[in-house]
Amino acid sequence: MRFALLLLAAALALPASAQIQFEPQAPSPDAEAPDAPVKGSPVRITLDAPTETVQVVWRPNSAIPDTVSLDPEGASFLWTPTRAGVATVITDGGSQNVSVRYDAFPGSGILVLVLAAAILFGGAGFAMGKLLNDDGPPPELPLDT
Amino acid sequence: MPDTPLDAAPARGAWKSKMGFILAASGSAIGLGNIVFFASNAYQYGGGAFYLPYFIALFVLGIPVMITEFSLGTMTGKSFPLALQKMAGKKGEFVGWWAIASALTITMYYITILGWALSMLFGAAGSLLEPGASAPFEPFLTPSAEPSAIAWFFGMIATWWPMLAVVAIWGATILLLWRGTETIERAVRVFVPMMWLFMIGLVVNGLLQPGGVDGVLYLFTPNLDGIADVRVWQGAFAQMFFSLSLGLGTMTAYASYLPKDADNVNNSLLVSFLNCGFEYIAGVAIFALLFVYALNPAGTTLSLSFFAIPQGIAGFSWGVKFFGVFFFLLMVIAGLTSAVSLVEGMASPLIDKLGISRAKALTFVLVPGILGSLMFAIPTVIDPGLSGDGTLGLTLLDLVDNWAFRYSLLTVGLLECLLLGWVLGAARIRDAVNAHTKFKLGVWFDWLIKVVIPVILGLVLFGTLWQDLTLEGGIYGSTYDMPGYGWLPAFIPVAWLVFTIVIAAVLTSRRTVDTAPHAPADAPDTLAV
Repeated sequence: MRFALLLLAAALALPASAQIQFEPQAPSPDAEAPDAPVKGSPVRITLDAPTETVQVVWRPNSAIPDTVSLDPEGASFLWTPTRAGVATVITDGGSQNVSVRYDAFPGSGILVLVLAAAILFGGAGFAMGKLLNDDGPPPELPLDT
Repeated sequence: MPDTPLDAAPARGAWKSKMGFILAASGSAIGLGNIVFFASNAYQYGGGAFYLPYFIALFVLGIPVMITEFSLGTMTGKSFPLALQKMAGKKGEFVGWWAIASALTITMYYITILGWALSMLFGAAGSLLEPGASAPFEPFLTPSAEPSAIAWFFGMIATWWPMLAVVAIWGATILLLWRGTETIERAVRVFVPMMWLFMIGLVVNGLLQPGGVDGVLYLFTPNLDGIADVRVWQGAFAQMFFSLSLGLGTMTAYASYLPKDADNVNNSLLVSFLNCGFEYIAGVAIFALLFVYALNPAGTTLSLSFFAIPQGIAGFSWGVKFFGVFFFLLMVIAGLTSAVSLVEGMASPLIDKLGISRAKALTFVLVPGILGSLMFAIPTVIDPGLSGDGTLGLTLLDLVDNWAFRYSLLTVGLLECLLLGWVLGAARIRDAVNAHTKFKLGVWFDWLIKVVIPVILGLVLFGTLWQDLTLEGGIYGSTYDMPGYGWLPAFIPVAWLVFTIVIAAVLTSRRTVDTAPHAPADAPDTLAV
């Protein structure tokens, strides 16, 4: 733990106070607009003032951030996120965090979730079973004193 | 089990049941760090991809070292320093006492952090999750328009109130240790299941929030971009050691209250899996919350626990105060079960070595412990611009933690493996373990203890030292703007080293009173479940 770095990271981790609004759009004319930004569906980004540069940092403040530049056309423009996850949208005037949801269940994520759970909870269950079935207590002690 | 009167000679206790031991050891391993550790590292290093180094660290380092530390306790019936002395001579005892002295240092500030968590608990019932927070530091001088956990936290640590909370936490810790294994076992039977239930409650709440499930998928979906980064592996191995409470003497102290025929392999597997399983569900709870509120889970224990998570809770549409209190109560309970084991890990060897009563041993730990904890809670503002940590207490905590936490545990683990592997002989430990387990250890265990683990820990320590030496701006903390206190960053590592080495040298040189092994003579050979 390095506290000063942590404090800085925490300050960065909290949402900045820029006026950036995200309005999810319907992916096709016959579909409904989602409640929140979704991978592959357009999002209208509205800024409080026109800006020259807009950057999207995926997995911000991590060891592996990935920065993508957008081409803003005025104070309101469309952006179609190409991946899901937490991102920070940075403009000349500030920044705002946004969570982009998955468009479908990611197979690799489900696989890791299930495998890790199987190893950890399966292992704990197996060891607990061994503990509970271990030779039995001496007769003078109740099962669980 | 017979009672262990406080003023009696050093007659020692024993666990009443195997389940009591498992709950106590897993309660020791599961602490503040577990609530946020895995989530933070998984975010930093590629989500599900982090499980690769994590599991390798668990199986190559965590479980083997835990087997060794448990075996030290059951083979000798003594706590860490005297067990090492029995196994590897005076050098071993010195390493053991140095570990205990380092554990004392860590316990001092760990309990201060717990005191802050207790203050946040009361705050959550009051003004913490409401607008209007301010603190006597540059970014937080004016009351916040929205709830601001970070401003509230800095405002809180700049007052004297946390000192009361620190005293309360020390009081609770001593109370839980008052009658040794008897009171510890009673407490963990309530606290550990409660901790799991609370965390499951947070998971359910997180998954019910819109977008919560996506947060969980984000946690586990692997991003392999960072997997080749050496810091990922360094972080996984170091954190596994800390997460399982290894190198502190607590696991050996707890195992010394077990009978000699305890199955140390099964116990290690169970405690390790429970610890990592708790991290797993904590990760689910935290990622669900952070994804819903678009908070970056950067940082580790302090920032996530005290700033980011309360900030997320403040955004709940209902039950804000309830969940705020709930979360900090979980933190306090998780921290208490770890603090109890840390203090027991120190009191137990004092009883073994000096032949003193439990009350005296607890007093010997309590007096310097409480003074140290209060020192880390000093609210004097020395850095009003927050270039570092703001108050004198938090600055001391930051600097001491940098040296004590990052170096001592791994150094103890390294020396412990070298002493036991090469001086005693890893094969002797393996034979003793195999005599009472259904999972027989092979020769691979000897090579892990003698070569693989020392090399890994040596590389991690060398990497950490290299980072510190090549740090931009000089020694850690030297860039903080602290008028009148600029000497602290250079003074702290020297003071910590002198403090721990003097304690270790003095206690090693004292004559060992011939005390009985922990398990009393009339204890049964085999424990009930």
